[in-house]
Amino acid sequence: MRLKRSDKKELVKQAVLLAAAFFAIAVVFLIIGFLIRQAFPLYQSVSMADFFFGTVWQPNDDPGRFGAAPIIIGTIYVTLGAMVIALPLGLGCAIFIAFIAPKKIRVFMKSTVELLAGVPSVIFGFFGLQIILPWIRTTFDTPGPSWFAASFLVGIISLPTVVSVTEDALTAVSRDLWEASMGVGATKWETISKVIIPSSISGISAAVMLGVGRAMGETMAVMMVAGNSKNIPFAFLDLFRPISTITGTLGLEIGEAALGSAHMYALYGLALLLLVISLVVNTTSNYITSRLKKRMQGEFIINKRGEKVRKVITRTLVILVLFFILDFIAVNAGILVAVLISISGFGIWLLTRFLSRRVIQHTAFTIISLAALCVLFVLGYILYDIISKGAPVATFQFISTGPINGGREGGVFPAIIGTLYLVLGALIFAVPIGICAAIYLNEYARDNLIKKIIRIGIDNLNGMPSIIFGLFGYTLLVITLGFGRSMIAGQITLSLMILPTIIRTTEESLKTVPKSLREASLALGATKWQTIQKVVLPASVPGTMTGIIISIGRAAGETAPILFTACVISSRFLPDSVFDPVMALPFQIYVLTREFPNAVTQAYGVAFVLLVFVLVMYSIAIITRTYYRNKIKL
Amino acid sequence: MKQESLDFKVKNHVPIACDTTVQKNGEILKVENLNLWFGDHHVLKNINLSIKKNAITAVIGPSGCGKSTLLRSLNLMNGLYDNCKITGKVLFKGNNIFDAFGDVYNIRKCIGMVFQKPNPFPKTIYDNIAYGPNIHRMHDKSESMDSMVERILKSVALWEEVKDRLKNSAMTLSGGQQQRLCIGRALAIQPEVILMDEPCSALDPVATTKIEDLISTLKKDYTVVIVTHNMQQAARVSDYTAFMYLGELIEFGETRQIFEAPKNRMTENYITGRFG
Repeated sequence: MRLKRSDKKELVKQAVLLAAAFFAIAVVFLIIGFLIRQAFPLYQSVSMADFFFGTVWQPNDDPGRFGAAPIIIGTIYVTLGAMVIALPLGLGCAIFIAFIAPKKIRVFMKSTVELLAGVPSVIFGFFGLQIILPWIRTTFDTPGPSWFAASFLVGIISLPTVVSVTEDALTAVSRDLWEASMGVGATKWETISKVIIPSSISGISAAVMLGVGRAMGETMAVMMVAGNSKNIPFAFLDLFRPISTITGTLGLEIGEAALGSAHMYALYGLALLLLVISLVVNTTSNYITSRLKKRMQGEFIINKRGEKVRKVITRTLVILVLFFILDFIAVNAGILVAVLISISGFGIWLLTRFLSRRVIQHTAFTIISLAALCVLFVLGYILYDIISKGAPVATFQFISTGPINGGREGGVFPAIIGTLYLVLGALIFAVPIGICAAIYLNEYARDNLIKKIIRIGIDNLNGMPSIIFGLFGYTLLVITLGFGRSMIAGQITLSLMILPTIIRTTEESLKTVPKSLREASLALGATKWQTIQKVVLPASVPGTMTGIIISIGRAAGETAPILFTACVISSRFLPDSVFDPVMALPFQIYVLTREFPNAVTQAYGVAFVLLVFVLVMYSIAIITRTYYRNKIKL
Repeated sequence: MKQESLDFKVKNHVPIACDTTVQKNGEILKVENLNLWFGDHHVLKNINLSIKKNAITAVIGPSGCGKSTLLRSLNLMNGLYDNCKITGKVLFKGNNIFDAFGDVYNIRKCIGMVFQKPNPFPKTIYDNIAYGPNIHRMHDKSESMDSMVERILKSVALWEEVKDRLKNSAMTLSGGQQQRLCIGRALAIQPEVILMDEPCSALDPVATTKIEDLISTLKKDYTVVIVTHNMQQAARVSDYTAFMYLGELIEFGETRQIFEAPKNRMTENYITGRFG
């Protein structure tokens, strides 16, 4: 049977959409392939064992020595340290927002936290450099850049994400369970701790893994405050020892390494390792989340022996963690303090068995509220610091003129324009592909292997550290394709980074369009594509817009992807063509703090302009979303 | 302060003091001039009702008449909503439960509740039953937790069906089994009154029969108040029936009298199916 013309047209459209969806996985494979290819020659100069377990990283020696152990351990330490800070505070803050805060404050806090999730990490890094390092220097009498500083800062950076996702998970628990627990006379705290938290454990673990991913992939803040010294910080010996991470090493050394040198290969090796770790974290988190979800719904029959083994494992883990914490306290503060703390901890544990339930609830709520206050205070202080010092600098002249004296004085007009160009370019590449891919996934794809693979590809693209995109863009666009440091290289790199966000949000909004609308259109004889084009897409515009606006905020604030692909320190002029390099706001902050320590006020001004730009974008996104959510309800 | 005497400092539950006159005429719960508003909406209008010990009292009426709200007032569940305002009294053994607002938890322990939709916790079957006793620290030396769980599951006729999979998720049970588990969960804290909010409305006829049989056996040890929109159910299981309409209590009496010789025209119309 011959196809009718209209059928052929439909097929062509479907093929285009499928191609867009495949583009996402193609990028993932391309990135992996590129890193492997680039890292492979390393094998000639360093053995695998020396690379993973060697403790000396001296790329400038002849021959260079590339022992990555300190860097790998440093990455693990910073991630762990960040989680030690972000998890308790984040969980506390989420519980506070979800259940304890008065209703009016709740909405306000929730949107503030979502807003803060968009603050570029280079601004946090700048704050760390200006406020946290001097504070450490004076309080603890050490140089400052250290494991502690990096963990603290990265912890704060991942806080908003952890809070936001955890809060969503907690409030998603059905009201029925809440009533069931209150109905047998449980207190609010007992309900939260024994019913709500266990029921939302899959969502909470997703939040934790997201936090881990964020902490591990963080580049700019770590580069700025970790100290980047390649020594192994032996187990908890010293909080204030400088440390280096994979991301930090990549960010600092890519620019210095000669092309085709063993150093370069070693850096690609590191990047590959980071990528593999982040893929593993991503996949495990998806697996754990779906497994826990199924377990909650009772799809797994619990076998008794497995349960016992699991219990033993969790207990051992808890004891180990406690031991480590005590060991850490003993080394840093003395054995006496550790003993005192463990005795009082045991005492408190005993007390809880005899205390009245109301007292326990009060104590728990007080601690949680304090955690929430802490979070708000720290985040608020960062904003206050940037705004109070940056706003006076950002005059009209500042934003409308070019830089003088290598950016130390003068205005940021070219940087603003450069950032806008980069963002716009990224959108031009990412939005059409993203929307097409989303349409394919939601409207055409059946639940089969292809869809699964595409989904996995997008998830992994989403979890990739931004420095990996930077490295990929640098190798492929700047060097291999010979674009040089250029606007278009930056735009394409950024577009790859925001692609998964756009696909996901568009897909979500397509899902909210009711089936009856589609059927109504199909029943009138419209083709599938006509239905999508005339009915489904218009109905999903608000959701798609939200995704695009969030992407604008992210693309404007990210530094690592444009670090080696697009930016220059200072240029008086605007770029003539897409192959010219540009100035950009986040890059400007980084360079100002790194190269010109005296230009602090200038840097504050730039940080303020960037902050305002990003926050405005995110506010618009949040307001649009709330507005349309309410509208749909009516 | 009054509620301090009922605090949880003691391990075991202290029975709420009982008025002797209340014991004599056998009424365990007494509702006096109860009014309730959600915002501006006047939901319960001057309700007066007395509930006899070890009897089953049914509350019937068309949907939206406030019967569920009345039931939820009896163990202070309406307090979970911010815009709720209550006047009047609910006397439990002669004590006004609204006075003991610091002690909601103890009140709810004495007056348990079973909800419309089966709502087991996403925990194991065992943990669902053990939840209440653990919360209330009812560690009894004469009976281990295991035997308590067994006793409760037997009393709700679930033991034979689940004894081999106590450590499985309660979500694996069928709807009717889940509802019986929820009744068991409420029984485990040894309440004196059990409130049931349309416990069978989400179940099929077979499961409904099982639950109704169970309710009849509960009468021996507990006082049951059941809200239902199913008049046959009220006629089958209850000793007393209250008919509500638009937030008012229209008629209250023995079930047989209500169904055979209603005093009020409206009750008669409702029972004979002329509206509802």
